[in-house]
Amino acid sequence: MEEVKKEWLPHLHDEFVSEADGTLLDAYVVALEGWRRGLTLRWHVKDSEKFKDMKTWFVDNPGLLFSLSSDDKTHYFFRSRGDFVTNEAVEIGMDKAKTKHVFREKGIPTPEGKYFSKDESDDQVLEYAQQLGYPVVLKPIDGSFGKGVVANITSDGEMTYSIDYVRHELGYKDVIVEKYIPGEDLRLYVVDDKVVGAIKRIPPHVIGDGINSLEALIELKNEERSLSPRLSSCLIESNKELLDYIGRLGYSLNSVPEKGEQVFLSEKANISLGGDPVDVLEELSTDIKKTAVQAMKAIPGLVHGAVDMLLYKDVNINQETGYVIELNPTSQLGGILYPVKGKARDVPAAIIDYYFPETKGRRQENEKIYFDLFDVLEPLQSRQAHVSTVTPSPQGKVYAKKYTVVGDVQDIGYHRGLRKQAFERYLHGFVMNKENGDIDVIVGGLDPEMVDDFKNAFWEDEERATVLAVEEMPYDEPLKVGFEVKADIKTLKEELEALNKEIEQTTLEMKKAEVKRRKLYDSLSWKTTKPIRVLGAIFKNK
Amino acid sequence: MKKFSGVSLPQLTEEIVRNARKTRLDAFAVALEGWRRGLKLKWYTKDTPHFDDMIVFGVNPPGRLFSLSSEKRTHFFFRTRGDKVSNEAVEIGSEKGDTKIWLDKAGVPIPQGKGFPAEATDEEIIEYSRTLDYPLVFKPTNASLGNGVVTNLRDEAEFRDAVNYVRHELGYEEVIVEQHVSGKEYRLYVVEDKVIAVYNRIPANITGDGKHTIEELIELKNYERRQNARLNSCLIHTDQEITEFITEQGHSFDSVLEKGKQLMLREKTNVSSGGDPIDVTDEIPDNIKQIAIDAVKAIPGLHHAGVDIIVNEDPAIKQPAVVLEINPTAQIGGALFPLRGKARNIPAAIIDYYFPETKGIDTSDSKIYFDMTTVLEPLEDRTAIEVEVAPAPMGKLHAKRYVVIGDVQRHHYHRWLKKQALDRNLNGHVKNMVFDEIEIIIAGTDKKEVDGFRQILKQYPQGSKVAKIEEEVWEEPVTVGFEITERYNTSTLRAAQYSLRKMNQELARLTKQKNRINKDISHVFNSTSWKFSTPIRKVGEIVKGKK
Repeated sequence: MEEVKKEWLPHLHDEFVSEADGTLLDAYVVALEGWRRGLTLRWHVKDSEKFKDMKTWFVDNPGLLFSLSSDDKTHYFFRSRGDFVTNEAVEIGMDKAKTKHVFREKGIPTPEGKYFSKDESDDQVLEYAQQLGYPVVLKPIDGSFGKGVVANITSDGEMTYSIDYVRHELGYKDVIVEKYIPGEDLRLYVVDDKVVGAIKRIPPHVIGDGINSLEALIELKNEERSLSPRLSSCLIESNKELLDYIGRLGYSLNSVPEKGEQVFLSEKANISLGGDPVDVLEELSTDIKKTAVQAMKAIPGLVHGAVDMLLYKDVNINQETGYVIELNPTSQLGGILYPVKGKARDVPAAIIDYYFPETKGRRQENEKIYFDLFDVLEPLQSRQAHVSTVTPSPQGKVYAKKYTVVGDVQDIGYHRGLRKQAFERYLHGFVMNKENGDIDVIVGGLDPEMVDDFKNAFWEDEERATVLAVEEMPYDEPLKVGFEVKADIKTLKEELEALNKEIEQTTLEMKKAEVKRRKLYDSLSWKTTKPIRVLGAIFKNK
Repeated sequence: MKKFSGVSLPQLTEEIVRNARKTRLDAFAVALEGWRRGLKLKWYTKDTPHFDDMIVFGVNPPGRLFSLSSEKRTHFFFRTRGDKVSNEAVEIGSEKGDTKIWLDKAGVPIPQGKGFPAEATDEEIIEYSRTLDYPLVFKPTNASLGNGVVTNLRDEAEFRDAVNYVRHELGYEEVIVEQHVSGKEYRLYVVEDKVIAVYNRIPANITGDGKHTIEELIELKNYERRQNARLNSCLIHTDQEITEFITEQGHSFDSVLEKGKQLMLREKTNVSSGGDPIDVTDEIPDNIKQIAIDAVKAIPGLHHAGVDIIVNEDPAIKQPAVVLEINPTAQIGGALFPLRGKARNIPAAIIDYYFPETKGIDTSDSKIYFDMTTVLEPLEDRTAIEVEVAPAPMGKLHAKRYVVIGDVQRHHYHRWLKKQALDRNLNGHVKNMVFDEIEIIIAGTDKKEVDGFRQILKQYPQGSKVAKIEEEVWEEPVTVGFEITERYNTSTLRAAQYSLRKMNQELARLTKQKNRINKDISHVFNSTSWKFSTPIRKVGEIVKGKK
């Protein structure tokens, strides 16, 4: 296994984001940052308020649209993108042909290439590739997540095959052909005129150990990826593209690479396809960063977002150039926040600094506070509610304690009573059953006196709990706002499981009975006896 | 069994108020009315700053604090009381002594009497009692729900006992002594210069049938109360007080009550201690209604409130009625769900008062509502501080129930249906039934969309296998939004509780169905003709076997 050195942000520890996977993660980390700074955080359903006028997609389920407000202003966000970014900027950013055109005009380095609409023939595309000179890249105009991108095409044969694959098999008729630039795949996050985070993306790969097959190595790598909030939803898939790629390198899934041998599984470095994010913010030259900022500035209204570049190093003249490939106004942040190697960079903080400069640096003391995304979104799921406002984060140092209560204390009514006591003291936390019959109660808040005073609360409900002893210790772990009665769910779950079994059993019995009834009714004899039955009924009535 | 015979409002059915109990029902009924008229509705936890300037109490659980907004303005509500009611008015109303002073000053008839502070000695109070004519009432100044109220004290010995009981045993030191006015007690709900509802509260009582014991009759009465959305949280509990009260009247729990005889179980008339609300709005004369209106007017900044009166039967007192108490945060469940008589729409009157521009909007045939449990979910554990309910569809609601049969129980299909419904501004739910059926309720203001949804059901791109669709017009209530009712969601406490409830219902339904089938089967087996035909069946089997 690879030795990795990584430093994630302590205030975005994976416990905080465990509920937010995929694109929810970007929205959650930006929302969390604003909320911790004391801004009012609201979650919205599709099309509510300003979102009607904002360019968004895949927002049928809640969790991607939110707003942050201070006393004098409100900003709306779709994932990591705020309302300072104009719709026009989003549209241009999504159109690779348009961005290419703009870069040309502004003199920003970008690989030479051309756009082909669906009306242009495969031959025309092939012809252009020949004219441009191999190696080339073929990609769809509006694909995302690296879908349908074929890089490093070196011959007419490969080109013909790729055109067929992209335009006909995948159905992306509008394509771009451009010069292939060998080099590192970079993603830089720019806010205003500053690069605040940068990663290089290493294409999916494994390192051999002389024992395991490629298939097993991929599985091991995926297990490791499952541990990262960003990568857990982006495992390496052994699909056709991958098999084609390793086939070209002379491997199959059964091959056993030698110890220490690095085997790439794809040309594409997209994290969603299994690429590894590695932090490079400090290594990048000022020139490269400048190119990224210029690329963003080239699109009016694109005040923050990600720039994808290829870093070409000409060893002969010892010079490097960053070729801008595309812009991403609604970028995922996970790679920068959870790199497999290097330091995480606080992009959410930079975004909030930009929208609410007056709150800069206001977060020092409550970095351990977070909120339950799922709970907040609950009534939005069925759209019975349109907006839900998260309980404000405690502003200041949060003081917390863990109490272990010994005795006969697992009555749910007792726990609900504790919850009420917590609310009355403005405390957050939870109560959880322990295996041995005791409970752990975590409470935290701004007022240490209230937290200390809570130990008295345990003794007040003699009807429902016999308390023998209360132990206390400091608590330094993350803390959710609100107060959760965790035992409840566990007990209810057991009850539900039992009930579910009973329902299944009853359903089964009912089905059996139904079959039996049908057989009976259908049986020949029942039908033939009909006259007898009718007669019988007449007799009975008499 | 005698069914509950009060007529409730068609727009507030048992199903709609199912998740709004007790004081949450008051808030829900008012909020629902405003929301159905197109006002924006938000619910809050007590931590919101919006209610910092309003007197509220008992608001730890959410579902009592809300706001309604039109484009021009917002009003905040605590249960039935809106922000036009001043805090001073609330304070006066909560202190019975102060209420008396203000009413008296305005010439509103009240029972003669006086309030005493905590410092007053028992002797002082007894001294004062001698200036009044017996019988007397002795009660705490600011207890609610009829706690510690002792009525019909006939002489000084009884009065002394009462003083001792209320002041020293119960610990209510601030008290009121007043004349006991005999007569029927009524609660009126007044909004400005109009009486919206009058109901009579009869103490917890039972009526004999010559068969059942008193204990059984109480049980039966509770059964009746359980059917009533307001009363099902206020059952009759046989406590010390009831035991003593019926013993005093020469009965025991085991005695059978003769047919037609009504037996009171206590003196207190409060609905919460088992009293029966009975609507009499149309029977009360205007001069008595005017007293209640005057009472509300007498307290500055009150505007709307519940007024408790006694219609006087004592010829010695001139006034037709006296005002006992004023309640600025009145419970209105009794008027909404009377045990006898007609329900009165107090929520509509309150909304008319706060948002007169919405007056013309009639919600009496509205079937749309929102589920309190779902909406309040994140407020319950304080993850959220505020939730805005999705706007109610405005205009006539058309609804259909579709039963789709086929390979249709996959979650993907249901999610797709939800998207199709929401994209078309339709509300409802999809629910798995047994075997290969699902039920889909679709409701919206655009009839074409509702009817057209039948076509949508078949258009699932991933090859839907819809074998058959049955449809019918749906007349039952519908929640706003679109829910996929899953049997087994334990992601949160509320969801788990909800699942548990649903599953219990489902189990009951399945068991019933199973029993019915088994009954059918045993009917076939036991039928005489089946027995007769035994030889024929055997022949049949032989024939079948040869094929």
